Amino acid sequence: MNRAVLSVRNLSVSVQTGLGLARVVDRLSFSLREGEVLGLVGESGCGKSITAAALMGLVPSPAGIVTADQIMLGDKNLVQLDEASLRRVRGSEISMIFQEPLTALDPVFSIGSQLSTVIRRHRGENRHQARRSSVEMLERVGMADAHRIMQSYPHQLSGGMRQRVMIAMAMACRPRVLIADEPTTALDVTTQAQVLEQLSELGQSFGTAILLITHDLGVVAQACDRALIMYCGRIVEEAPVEALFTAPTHPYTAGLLAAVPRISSAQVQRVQAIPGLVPHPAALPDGCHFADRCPRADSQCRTLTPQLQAVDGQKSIHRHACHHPLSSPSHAH
Amino acid sequence: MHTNPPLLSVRDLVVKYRVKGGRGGLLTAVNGVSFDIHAGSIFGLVGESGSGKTSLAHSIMQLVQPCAGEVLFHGENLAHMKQASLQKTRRNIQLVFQDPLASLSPRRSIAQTLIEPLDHFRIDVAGKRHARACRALETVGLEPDVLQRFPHELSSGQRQRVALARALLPEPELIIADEAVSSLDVSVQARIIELILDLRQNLGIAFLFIAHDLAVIQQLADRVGVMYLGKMIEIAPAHRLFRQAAHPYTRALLEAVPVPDPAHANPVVLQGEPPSALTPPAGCVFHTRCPQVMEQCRVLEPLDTQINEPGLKNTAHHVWCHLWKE
Ligand SMILES: Nc1ncnc2c1ncn2[C@@H]1O[C@H](COP(=O)(O)OP(=O)(O)OP(=O)(O)O)[C@@H](O)[C@H]1O
Ligand SMILES: Nc1ncnc2c1ncn2[C@@H]1O[C@H](COP(=O)(O)OP(=O)(O)OP(=O)(O)O)[C@@H](O)[C@H]1O
Ligand code: SF4
Ligand code: SF4
Ligand SMILES: [Mg+2]
Ligand SMILES: [Mg+2]
Repeated sequence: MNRAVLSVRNLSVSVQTGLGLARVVDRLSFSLREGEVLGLVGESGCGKSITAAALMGLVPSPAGIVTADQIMLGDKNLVQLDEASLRRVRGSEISMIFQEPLTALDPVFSIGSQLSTVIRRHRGENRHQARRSSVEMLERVGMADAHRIMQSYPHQLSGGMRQRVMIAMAMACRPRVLIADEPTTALDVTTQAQVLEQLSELGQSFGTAILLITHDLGVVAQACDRALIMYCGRIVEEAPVEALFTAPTHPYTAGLLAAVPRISSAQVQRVQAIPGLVPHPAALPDGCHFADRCPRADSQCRTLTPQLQAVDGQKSIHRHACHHPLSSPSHAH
Repeated sequence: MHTNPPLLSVRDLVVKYRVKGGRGGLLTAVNGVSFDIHAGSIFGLVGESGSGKTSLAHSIMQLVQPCAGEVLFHGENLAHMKQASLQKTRRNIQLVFQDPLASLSPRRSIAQTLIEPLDHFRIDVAGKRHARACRALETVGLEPDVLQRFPHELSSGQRQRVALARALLPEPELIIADEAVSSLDVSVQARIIELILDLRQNLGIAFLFIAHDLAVIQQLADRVGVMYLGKMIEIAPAHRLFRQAAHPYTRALLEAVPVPDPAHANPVVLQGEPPSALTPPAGCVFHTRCPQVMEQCRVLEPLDTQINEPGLKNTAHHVWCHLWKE
């Protein structure tokens, strides 16, 4: 197995909400290995983007408070770096594709100038080389008219084109760690397939490790090696994708998989939403946060927080946080 | 079946943008598109990224001026409408923008964003508007405390749902939803799908629903249009499109849907050059990538062809491809 390039221990983030301080990311620990694509999946609002922002050192203060035992990127502990050193690390060693491209692209500069600037800074190419590399990167993510795109401003591109510009920009830096936050939501499925192929190629050619945040379980199956399932700021299951899809053990994972609509030529399938709502992050229930929506919940679940542990014995890389996981006999209802 | 004029009728719509280079500095984003939406029905619109879906939506709303063609709402041309009736129509057609962050004002709380249009259109008495906004948030799975927050204090999926709630509040006749569920996980998405089907059923709201997620389209749409490089290339009843797609591009799309099963082979990426919108291919716009391309496809533009089959209404299924002859 490849060595870990990113290793996170007990990362927590709290933010101020209308109902008081809320811990939206709760003691997250995981590692990411060279060349690996690790999926991060979970319900809207469960803390995926905030986790990404915390890893990048981009959580706005004082709105958010970040604590962590360590965030090791290679041999650097990002928790201990000052803002200036962090800025050097960002972009070259760890870079990010933001969920909403408009937040990341500058409206007053052309795409060409934004892309070339990044490429010149991180690859040390001259102006001419950088423009050539920019065009090449745009073509790799399936953009025709690369020369027109270079001269365009962000508002002159379609949603999916802006998203691909950002992907091209992040890939051009050839970082050791790439955090991709819902990178293909604005893409049609054929373009998406091409972009996912390019991302995995990045891992193969440069050993880039990718944290792929997505709500699309089809994308997880297609592109990821392992995945983390997150619920209310905590990891509830961590597994290689085969195990995740064939033998999920956490009831929330099972619920998510059951809610995936499948295109079947025969009949439209009505899928089942998981009953109930995600609790408010400032008013989380004691014990297991999923208890109010879980068919297997009992009194133990409502008092005792389940810890993340190996599914079958000490060495398993399949882990879950549940008192009554699906592989074990169902508990009294 | 339908004796009334369609709720929305789009006729030969053309949208062009001025850009650097290209033919006379113009880029044709929408190239002669026509379709109808009847009251209480859901028209799904899918297509390649950059094929002109958002441009089409914006030109229906008159946010960009079409350079040819017309948009009729209840049979009335929106471009010729007087200010007063346009104002009234604005309430009856709501647009959910593809980019919620760009459409929600950063300095306004969600309460201001949601309640202001109600004030503006004088919907409900002032005292009840707050409660109405709370209910709208609840239907999209958000808690009332969201009202006090600002857009940047929400997750992307939460913002997307606020944008949807805002469009629902005035109870319009037509909602144009541009990728309105793209950031939502499957569970929340299932809830929103139920909500939309419910609104159609009980309030008769019609939708132009633009989405890349074909599973969502399959669950929602009555009819589906497929766009490629500014052109509509197929229109069919949803149940037929997913079973008997006629156009090679539509079939390529359906085959590329990722399957939630790691044992399943990854989809094949479309071969060939993606075409340029500035200098679109002659003949069929898909011919540079079509696995079934023929000689005539490179020179001759395919015309609107209706598929005739026993049991199929002869206006139901349209395709623009030389493989199909009447
Ligand atoms: N600046 C902020 N101030 C207060 N609350 C915030 C702020 N940013 C995010 N939150 C809250 O923190 C929680 C986690 O947000 P985050 O953006 O990480 O969610 P997410 O998992 O990425 O969701 P989505 O899938 O919808 O993008 C949400 O409940 C959100 O409302
Ligand atoms: N304001 C503008 N100026 C110039 N060109 C534009 C402008 N807006 C859009 N375009 C171009 O028009 C074409 C169609 O864009 P549009 O946003 O309609 O595509 P779309 O189908 O919505 O794509 P996506 O699925 O990626 O959102 C693209 O080539 C785009 O670059
Ligand atoms: S710990 Fe209990 S409530 Fe939580 S997921 Fe497991 S069985 Fe359900
Ligand atoms: S007209 Fe020709 S190139 Fe176009 S889709 Fe049909 S077969 Fe393919
Ligand atoms: Mg997010
Ligand atoms: Mg669009």
